[in-house]
Amino acid sequence: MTIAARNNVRVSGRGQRPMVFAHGFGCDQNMWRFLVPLFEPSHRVVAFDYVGAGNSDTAAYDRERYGSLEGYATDVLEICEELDLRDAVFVGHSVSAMVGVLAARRQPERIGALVLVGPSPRYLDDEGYRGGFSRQDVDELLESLESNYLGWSSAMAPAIMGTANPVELGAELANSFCRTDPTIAGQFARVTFLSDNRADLPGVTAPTLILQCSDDIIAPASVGDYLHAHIAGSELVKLKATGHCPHLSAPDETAAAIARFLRLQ
Amino acid sequence: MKSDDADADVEELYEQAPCALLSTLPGGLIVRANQTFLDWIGRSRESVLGTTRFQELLTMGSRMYYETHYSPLLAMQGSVSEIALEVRRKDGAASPVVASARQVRGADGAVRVVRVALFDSTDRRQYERELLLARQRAELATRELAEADVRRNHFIATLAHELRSPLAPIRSAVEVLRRSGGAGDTAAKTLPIMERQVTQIGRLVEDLLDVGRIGRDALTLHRVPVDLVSVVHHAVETSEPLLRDAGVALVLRLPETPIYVEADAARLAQAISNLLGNASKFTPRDGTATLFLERDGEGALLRVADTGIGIEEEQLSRIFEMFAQAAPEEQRRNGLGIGLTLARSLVERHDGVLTVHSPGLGQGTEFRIRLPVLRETLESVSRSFPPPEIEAPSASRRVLIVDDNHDSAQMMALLLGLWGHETRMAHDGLEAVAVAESFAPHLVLLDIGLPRLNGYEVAQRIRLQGGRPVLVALTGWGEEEDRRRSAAAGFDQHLVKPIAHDALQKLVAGLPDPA
Repeated sequence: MTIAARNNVRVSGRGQRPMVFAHGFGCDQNMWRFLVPLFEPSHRVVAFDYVGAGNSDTAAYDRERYGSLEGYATDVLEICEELDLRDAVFVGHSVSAMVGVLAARRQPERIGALVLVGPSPRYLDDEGYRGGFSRQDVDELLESLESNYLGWSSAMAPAIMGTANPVELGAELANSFCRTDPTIAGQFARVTFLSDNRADLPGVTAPTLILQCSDDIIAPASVGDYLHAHIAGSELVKLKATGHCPHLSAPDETAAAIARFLRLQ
Repeated sequence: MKSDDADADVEELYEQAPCALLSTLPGGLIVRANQTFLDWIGRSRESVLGTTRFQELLTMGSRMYYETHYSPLLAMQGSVSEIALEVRRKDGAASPVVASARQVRGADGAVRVVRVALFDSTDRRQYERELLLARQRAELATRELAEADVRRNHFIATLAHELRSPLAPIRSAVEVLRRSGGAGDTAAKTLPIMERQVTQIGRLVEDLLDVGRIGRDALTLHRVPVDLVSVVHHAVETSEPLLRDAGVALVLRLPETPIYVEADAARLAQAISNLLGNASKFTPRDGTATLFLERDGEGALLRVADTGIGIEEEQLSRIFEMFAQAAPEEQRRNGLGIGLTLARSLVERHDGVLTVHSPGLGQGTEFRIRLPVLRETLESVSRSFPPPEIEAPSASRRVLIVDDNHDSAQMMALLLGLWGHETRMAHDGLEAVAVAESFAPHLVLLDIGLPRLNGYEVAQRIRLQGGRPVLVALTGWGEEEDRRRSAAAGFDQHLVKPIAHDALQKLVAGLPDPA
């Protein structure tokens, strides 16, 4: 199994400089569908699914490897190696922003710039830090996910019947994007929402763009400010777009901010 | 229908629909909601419309899921179908719903509004939870069954092995006797071996039956005050040959004075000899087993310590479980692993405690039995094991032997013949009744499971013949119920096979004088 098959890697675009698009928790590479066409003329675009999401090879899931964000960063670097990407622009949404931070610290020659969309180095509140969530909030999400109380109601049937893959039921599912294995999603949520990557921020040397949405409950404005303060030389852009997914709700505004950042480099 | 009526009808359907309906702007702001939804959340229309976003009415966990999955999915697909979420009700309770939504685009292609339908799924979730639990229980039960099955198969394999080991020397001994015709000292050499091996098989079968009885709670103890020292002596007597064969020396550390306990002497001795038997199995040649007995506060403490292979810590708790020893093939030792199960049950039935201690593999094992002792020293403590009475040679009797196993009948007839009695054999029920009539026996040894007429019916018919022979049921079935049935059928005694020869001798000697 190649890395490309494991992570369902898709390469497109007519430009030279690579751009790697990494989706966040709860989704797959389809979430870049409005943004990718805007960069294909100028870049070599790479999109992929994390193991357990989209059309990745679920069999490659390894609880231990993916028990921390480092495992996901390793996947990103393996993709870069297999495609021999150098000086890539890593565009990471949500939790993937921190995956990008970890990968860029480990191999700066591969990751030359970071675009962090709705990033957060720590979701939980802490002394002198406001992440936006209490431990109770996160536990509620994790418990609900692990008991199949959230998500596609169709995921319940395989949980009860013991069929690992809902596709085996033979039904064409109404929700065709962002397929996630419920068990893997549960662990990914745990790894995501309990992570703390604040100590990794000062080690970032790549030029970094932070895209902060208005009114984003997952990554509040205070978190964007924190990141800006702790990543040396970073640029913070506050978007008019609301919610947690500006690349879906306001792709033009998002693309413009990224393009400007890349031109300035 | 007039159009006003039709409008009112549609309006009523919207407001009172059996599901919550709402319309939101792309960012989630609620611009329209039906009465059903407002009733769920306990809010007035004015306080919701234009002020509240749909996601703000979700529980925090649901809201996080909404932002990370539901909302991007809706943006990508234009719709979502049956997503499970939780809405905060007016009383604060989280209410499970299934949400479906669809974007509506304007002429310019931009999303104008999102239509959302929410279905209450409280009952459904309850069922789902029950189904999940049922599945977990079923998986657990299946796993336990599979484990029990593995243990049982190992047990049967071990049982076959255990039965085969004593059979091999017996078969050899038979061959030796056949070829030598018992000449020279061959008989003297082979007979003790056969006797020992047959005893071994008998003990094995007894243990099996006892475990069965304990499992069914059908083991009856006859507890009387006895001296624990004499019980130990009896256990040692039983186990000495095993220890000797295994090359394990036995050291006894017994008190000078008696320790009185209320016990079924034979059963308690059985428990102790099982521990000694265990020591013989798991102690290498030239090792030592030591039996200590002492007063310990209010109770008696009996310890059986060996210099054997010891037990790993994680095995200590399992060692008294049925078939524990028979578990993994590579670790299997001689023995069925029922000896310790039985010993613990027997000790517990005596209000005692049996525990095991081992510092680890290769460091020996110590079993400890604690038993409550009787406070006052009783004068009338029964002698637990009376010495065998000296038998006077008995007068010649007529004995009818009924057994469909020809070999069993033949051997019994030979033995009784050697003792000077006159014998006849019958191999089925009808034949037995006929021979009894003509032979007029003093004693009938009658098997129960017989062809043509069973033992109970044979007994009843012989009773009708007028003579008063002593009827003894000789059977493999020794439970209380079996004994009751044979007594009801007119039997005088009920003996369980294999019958000990001195018991048979005593039985014949105890017959009433021939008329």
